[in-house]
Amino acid sequence: MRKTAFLNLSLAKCRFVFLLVLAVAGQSLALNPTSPNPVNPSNPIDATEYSQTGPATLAELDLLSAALIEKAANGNTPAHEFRIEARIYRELLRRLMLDNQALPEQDRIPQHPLMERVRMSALLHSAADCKTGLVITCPPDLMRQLKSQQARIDQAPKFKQLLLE
Amino acid sequence: MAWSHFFGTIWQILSESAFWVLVSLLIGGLVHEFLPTSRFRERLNGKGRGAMLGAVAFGALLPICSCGVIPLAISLYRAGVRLGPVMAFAAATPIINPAAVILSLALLGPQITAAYVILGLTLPFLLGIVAERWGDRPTPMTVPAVTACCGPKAGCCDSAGNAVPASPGFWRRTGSGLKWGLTDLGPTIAFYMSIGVLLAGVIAAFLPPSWTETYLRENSFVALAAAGVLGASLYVCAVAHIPLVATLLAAGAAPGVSIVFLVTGTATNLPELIALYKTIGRRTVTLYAVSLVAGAMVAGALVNAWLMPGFEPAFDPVNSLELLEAGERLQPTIGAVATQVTTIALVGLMILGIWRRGTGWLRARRARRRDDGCCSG
Repeated sequence: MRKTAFLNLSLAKCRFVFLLVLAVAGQSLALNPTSPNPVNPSNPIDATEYSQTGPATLAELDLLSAALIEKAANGNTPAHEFRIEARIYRELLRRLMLDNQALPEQDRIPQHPLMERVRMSALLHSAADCKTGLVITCPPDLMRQLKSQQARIDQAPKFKQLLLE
Repeated sequence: MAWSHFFGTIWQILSESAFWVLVSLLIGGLVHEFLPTSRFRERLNGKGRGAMLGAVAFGALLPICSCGVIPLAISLYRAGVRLGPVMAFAAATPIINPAAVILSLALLGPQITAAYVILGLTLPFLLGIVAERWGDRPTPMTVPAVTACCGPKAGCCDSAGNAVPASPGFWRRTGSGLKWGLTDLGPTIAFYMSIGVLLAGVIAAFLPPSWTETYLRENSFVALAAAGVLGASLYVCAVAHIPLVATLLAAGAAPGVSIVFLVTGTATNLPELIALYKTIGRRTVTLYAVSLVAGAMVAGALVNAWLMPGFEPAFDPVNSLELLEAGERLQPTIGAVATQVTTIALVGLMILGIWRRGTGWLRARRARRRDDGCCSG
C-alpha cells in the first residue's frame, strides 16, 4: 500500500516535471510579449535550461497551481512537500512580478492577472497549513475556493491574448 | 459526502483550536489563581469605559481564535472581572489581530480593511456595554481583605478578625492554578465545546456547499442576515479565512456581506456560544449573539452603501505579496506534532468532561430514586 502510494507520488512528480517542461517549451515565450526568440517546437528546452532562461511565466505558475490543487484534493500528499511547492509557487510569482516591473509600461502584464495569482498563493499557503497527521487535508470550503480560483485564473491567458490582439 | 463534511469540520475545529484552547486553559488557571488577589483586578473593574477599552486593545493584540478565547474569558469572569470587559475581550480577541489586519490590507484592499478595523474595534466595545447593561448579574466574588499579621506562623487576619492561613509560595500557587485550569475548568469547557463541535459538524454537513457563493454575492437584507447567522454558527479563523473572502470578493461578492461573514464568523461559533451560555449566563450570551449579528449587519449595510455598486479595489501585486508574507510571518505557526498532541489532549479533556457529566448525572438520578423509594414506601 505504502509502495503504491510512493509510486503514485513519483508518477505525479514525473508528470508535473513533464508538464513544466512542456509549458516552458510550448507556451512560455509565446505568453511573454517581450521574448526576443520564439520557441521552435522541434528544439524544446530542458528543465535545467529553464532555470537559466529567464522569468517564470503565467503558464508555468498556472500549471504549478493546478498540480498543487490536485495534490491538495487527493488527501495523501505529504505536508512538507506541499509546503515547499507552495513556496516555489510564491517565489516564481515574485520573480515574475519583479521582472514584469522592469519591463517598459506597454509590455507589462496587467496587474489584474498578477493579483489573481497573489490570491492563489494565499490560498495555497492556507492549504499548506491544513494537516491531518503529516498529510494535507483541506476543508471543503477551502478546496472549493482553490478550484474556483484556478478556474478564474485559467481565463487569464485568454485575457492576455485579448490584450495582445 | 455529508459524512466527510461532518468529520472534516469536526477535525478542522479541533485541530485548529486545540493548541490555543490548551494555552488559554493554562493562562486561565494562572488568572484564576493570581488575579483575585492582585491589584490588576481592581483596574479591570474600575468605573467607566476605560477597562472595556483596555480589554478590546489587549484582545486585539492576541492571535487567539474564538474557541481558544473561551477558557481565558471564563477564568477572567470567575476571577471576578466585570462582565463588560470580559465580553469585550471575548469578542475582540478572535475578530481582530495584527496579522489579520495586514493580510486584509494585502488581499481585501484599503477600504475593506478600514471597515474591518473600525468594526473589529467598535463592535466588541459595544458588545461589552450591552452585556454589562442588560446581561446577567454576576455573583459578587469577595476576597477577604487582609488587615493585620498575627505572626510568622499563624498567618494573617482578615477584616472580620478570622485567621487567614499563610499564603502558599509562588510555585505552589502556579501549580495549583495550572491544575485548576487543566483538571477543573478544562473538562467543563471541553464538555460544552464537544456539543458545539458536533452541532457545527451537523450544520456543515447539511449546508449546501455553494452557500458562500450564493449569499455573499447578493446585496440584500437576506444575504446580510444569512452571512451573519451562518458566520456566527460556523468556525471561522480570521487569518485562515481572509484569503477565502478575498477570492469571493474577486468573484463579485458584496463587500458588506463579506465583512459581516468575516466579523461574525471570527467573533463566535457554536462551541464558544454553548460554553459561554452554560458558564457565564443565558441572557448575556443571547444578548451577545443577537447584538453581534445585528451590529455586523448594520455595519455591512453601511459598507455596501459606501462601496457599491462598482467596487473594484486597486492593488499593487508586488506590495500585496510583501504584505501577505508579513501577515503570515506574524501569525504563529503550530507544528504538526504540536497540533496532533494538543488535539489528542483536547479530545481527552472532552472525554473526561463527558465522563464526569455522565457519572454526575447517574449519581443524581440514583439519589433521586432512592429518595423517591424512601418517601413512597
